[in-house]
Amino acid sequence: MMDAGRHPNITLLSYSEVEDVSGYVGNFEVKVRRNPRYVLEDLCTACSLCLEVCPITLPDEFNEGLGTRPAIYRSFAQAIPSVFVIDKKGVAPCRDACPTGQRAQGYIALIRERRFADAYRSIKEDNPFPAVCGRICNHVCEDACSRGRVDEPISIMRLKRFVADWAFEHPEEVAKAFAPKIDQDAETPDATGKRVAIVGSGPAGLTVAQDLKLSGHDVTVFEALPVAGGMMRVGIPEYRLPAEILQREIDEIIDLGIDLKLNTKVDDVVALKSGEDQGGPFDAVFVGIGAHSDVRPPVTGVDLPQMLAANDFLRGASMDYYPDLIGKKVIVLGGGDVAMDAACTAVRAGTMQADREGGEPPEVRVAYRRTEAEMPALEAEYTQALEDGVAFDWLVSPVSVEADDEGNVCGLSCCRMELGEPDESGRRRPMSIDGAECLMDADVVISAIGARPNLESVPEVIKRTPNGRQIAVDENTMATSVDGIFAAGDAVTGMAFVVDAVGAGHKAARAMHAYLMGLPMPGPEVKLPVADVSDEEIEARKASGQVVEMVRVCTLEEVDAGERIHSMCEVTGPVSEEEAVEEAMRCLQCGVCSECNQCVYVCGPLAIDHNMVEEHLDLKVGAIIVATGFQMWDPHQLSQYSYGKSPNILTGMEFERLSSSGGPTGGEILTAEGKKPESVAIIHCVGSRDHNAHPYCSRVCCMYSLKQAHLVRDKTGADVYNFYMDMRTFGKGYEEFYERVQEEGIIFIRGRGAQVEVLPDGKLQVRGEDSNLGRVVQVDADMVILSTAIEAPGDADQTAALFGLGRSEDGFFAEAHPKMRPVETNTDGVFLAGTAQGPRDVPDTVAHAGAAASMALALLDKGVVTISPQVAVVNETLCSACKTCISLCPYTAISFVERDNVARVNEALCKGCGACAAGCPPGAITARHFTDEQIMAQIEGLLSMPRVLVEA
Amino acid sequence: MTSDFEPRIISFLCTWCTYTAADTAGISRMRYPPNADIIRVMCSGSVDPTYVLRPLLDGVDGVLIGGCHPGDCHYQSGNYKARRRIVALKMILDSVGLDDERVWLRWISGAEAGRYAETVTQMTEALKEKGLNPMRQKWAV
Repeated sequence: MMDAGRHPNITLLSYSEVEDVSGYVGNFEVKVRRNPRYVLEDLCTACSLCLEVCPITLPDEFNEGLGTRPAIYRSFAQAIPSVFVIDKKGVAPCRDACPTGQRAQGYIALIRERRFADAYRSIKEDNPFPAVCGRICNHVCEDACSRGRVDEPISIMRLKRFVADWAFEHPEEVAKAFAPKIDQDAETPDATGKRVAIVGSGPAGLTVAQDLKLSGHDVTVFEALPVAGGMMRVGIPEYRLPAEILQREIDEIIDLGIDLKLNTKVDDVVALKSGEDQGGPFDAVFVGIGAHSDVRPPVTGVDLPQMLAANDFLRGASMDYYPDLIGKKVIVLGGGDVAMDAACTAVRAGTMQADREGGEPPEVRVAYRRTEAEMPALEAEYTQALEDGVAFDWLVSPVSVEADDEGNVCGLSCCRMELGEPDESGRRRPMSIDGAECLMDADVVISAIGARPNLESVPEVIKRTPNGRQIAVDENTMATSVDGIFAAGDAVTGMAFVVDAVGAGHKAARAMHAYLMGLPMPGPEVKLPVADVSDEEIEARKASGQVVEMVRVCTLEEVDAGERIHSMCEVTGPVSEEEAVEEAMRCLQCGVCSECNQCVYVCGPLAIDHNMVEEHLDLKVGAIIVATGFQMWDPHQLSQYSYGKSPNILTGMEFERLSSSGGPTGGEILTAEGKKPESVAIIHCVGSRDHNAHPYCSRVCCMYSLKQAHLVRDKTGADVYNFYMDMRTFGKGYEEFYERVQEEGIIFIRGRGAQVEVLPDGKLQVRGEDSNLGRVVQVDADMVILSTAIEAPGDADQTAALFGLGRSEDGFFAEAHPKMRPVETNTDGVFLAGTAQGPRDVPDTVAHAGAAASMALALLDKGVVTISPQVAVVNETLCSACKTCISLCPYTAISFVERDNVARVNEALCKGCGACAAGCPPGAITARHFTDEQIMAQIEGLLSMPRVLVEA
Repeated sequence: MTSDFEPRIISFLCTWCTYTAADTAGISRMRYPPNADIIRVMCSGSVDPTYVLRPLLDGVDGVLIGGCHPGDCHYQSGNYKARRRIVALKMILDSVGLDDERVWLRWISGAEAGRYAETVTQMTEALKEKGLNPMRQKWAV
């Protein structure tokens, strides 16, 4: 095998499948799909370091499921080519759904293995803000989670929070996880000397800053506010995301060596790039200014002092500045997350003021123009708001903010609404009811009906989106219309979530790096196939007990509502380690490989490429040898052998792995209880020579059963009983081996083993007839080996259709003639080798394969193909130009010659089937050697012969 | 009809499937009536309707056409062409008052030697029931 793998004239296309074969002998065209191996064949050195870090455990097919293997593996030590492969069905749905491409299945797998530091590294791979997103994400991953189709989705967000919090408490272990584990070929890139300015320190800006700094660029971040973090800092209230936790993650980025300029407003981003007044010029500028301007409701009275914008209110609150709310009636306009945040912040701020200074806490209401069902706020936020004592008024729309004589807000006039037809967002459009106005008491009104970017610092030369509100960018590169200026985040999308900004930030950073280094700009992202767990698979896993319906383990503790409104303390409590591990166990592992990237960190030659996609090859070949082998027959089909009812009932193949030094026990023959067996029964012909299974003889079983009997006797000294029908020792030296085994004291019982019974104590009992003695025998055994039949592979049908092969009655591929042409098939140029044609042992397979190779070589060596003379010819004088023949020919061998007005046959393409000759209305076409005259002559000849019936 | 009547059958067997089956039946020493004479053709799709009509008019008692199973044709679609032709031919036979049951089209793969032997046996039996092809009486052979 090694020799074949190394031979310069042999190209081994492993992990590949033939998809289509066309052409004919000497001129086949074969389409091959190379499945993505995710490991570069020419780089992998099979050092096995990746095996140790992979968190996935799967049954090992090569060891017949007796052992386990990781998702990155090599079937067996001698496998050719000697490189690893990653078993990956595709990108997990959670990762696919996340705008940042967060490898959720990856860190969940690592949590399950209690490798929390590794999980943290896996998260940080795509997201610089785990602690933030672990708290306030909109977690679209959970909506996509396949587990949701079993019971409830995995609490992916909470698991992330657990890892982030754990990482903060275990800095040393995290440092170890991030430390290089091996000298990798590529190291941290050298400083490029390129200078980048980033305007805005929100999630988009900081993501770009981090990525570009890690690529070796010199990064300066400008922030107008006195604090960094953008909306994460000044838009999300403290009780949902403590500033201290956010600051930790910001500091990690800044500590990479980024120059952060707080309190520094940029007036013109284009001037910033070229000018020198703010430290420029810069090679590139990223605009991540967010959406901090409020959308004001179109009502009168918006300029009153107690009419606040939610953004301003929350920004103030984040820096401990609150308006006086003691005993005030507060109305929040809107139904989104910002409205919930503003309302709950108002409750807390007013309650804290009242606690400090005396007085009543505020009365906070949310006024929304649709109903509860259409409200865009996350359900958890809405529930919390209700718990915090916020009241809701549905179907009301503000008309005007009323002021008293002193010019202070004293009420809100509203119009009652009703729901009409759904609008473009799919939600029913609210419509005002004429004359249904109402006045609500209010001292403070907070408007939370949206926000948009403040584009003051973005000159008109940078193009806007069609609605004029955001910056227009190229969707692949996030480049604006001005060279070297890029933008992402809320400034481009309008108000969105942190993960959206982070995802877009990564995309912008990739493009900016390419721009700075003069590399080709990235095109559209390659969409990797998504691994889908089908409903049938879920049902099968449920049926097998692998998946048990249960509720989420991670139910976050919340601080009691009565208590939490007196401070800005975080509402949701921490996740415990046990809960996290148990929750992680619920993952269905949709992608098989979790893409946790741990293998990448330890691969010295950088051979792992998780983004590999399948390749398609078109090969031109002269001959094809089909050597697709066999499969083991499944003994579940004959229930009398009790296969599957005891782990000590093995098939011959399973025993082969058990006794192999590379097998699960290192070659020790042990029962499932880990003991040496004292008595072993081997039953021959299980599934072979049996009209309830396969009537044919599988040929190899007698000899491997003898070998296994010898091994058991040799390694364990156990009593071995062979139940055989006939001993078929057909090969050279085989009979001698049989005699030797007999002399070793192995007991041979002539007769089919009839039944294996699993006794209540787990012991096995084998019954069968000893036809030599003429009586039933019964043997107690610790282990039973079933010498199962070999049969044609389950997909032999497709293989046969692909290569134009016939199949014999036993299901194996049919040779051209059972005696004279044992390697050729009925399709010229396609040969058979080995068990694809029928059961045979190794020496016979080698001989058969050698013959197939010789036949192929003889064909190729000639350089020309001798075709059959049986082709169709057109008698052109009879041809009526009806073109009937053209549609009859499956090989397009007949073409119509317009100039001569006749059909003509291409003899090289014609296969001589004669369909055209039979269908030609004027009888102009004849099939050579099968002409009408010849057939008629045969008929006449037969008829003229006297009928002599010979009874044999 | 006397029970010792021995019908004559002419069979057109596709070389890839049914002819191979007949060959295998021989190799396997299977026993079946010797009433069918075989004419090998490349494909059941190459059987011209006149090949069937001529022996029938000449007084042969039955004609058997053997081809590959649908989907298994060595020439991709020859057996479908045969199927269409034989259906049309049988309609013509029926309309002119000839017994279309004397023409059999059967799919027998190269592996189905037993089926070939069985088919010939059944056809011989069936034709024994039917008796002499009336054409034989009209046109003396």
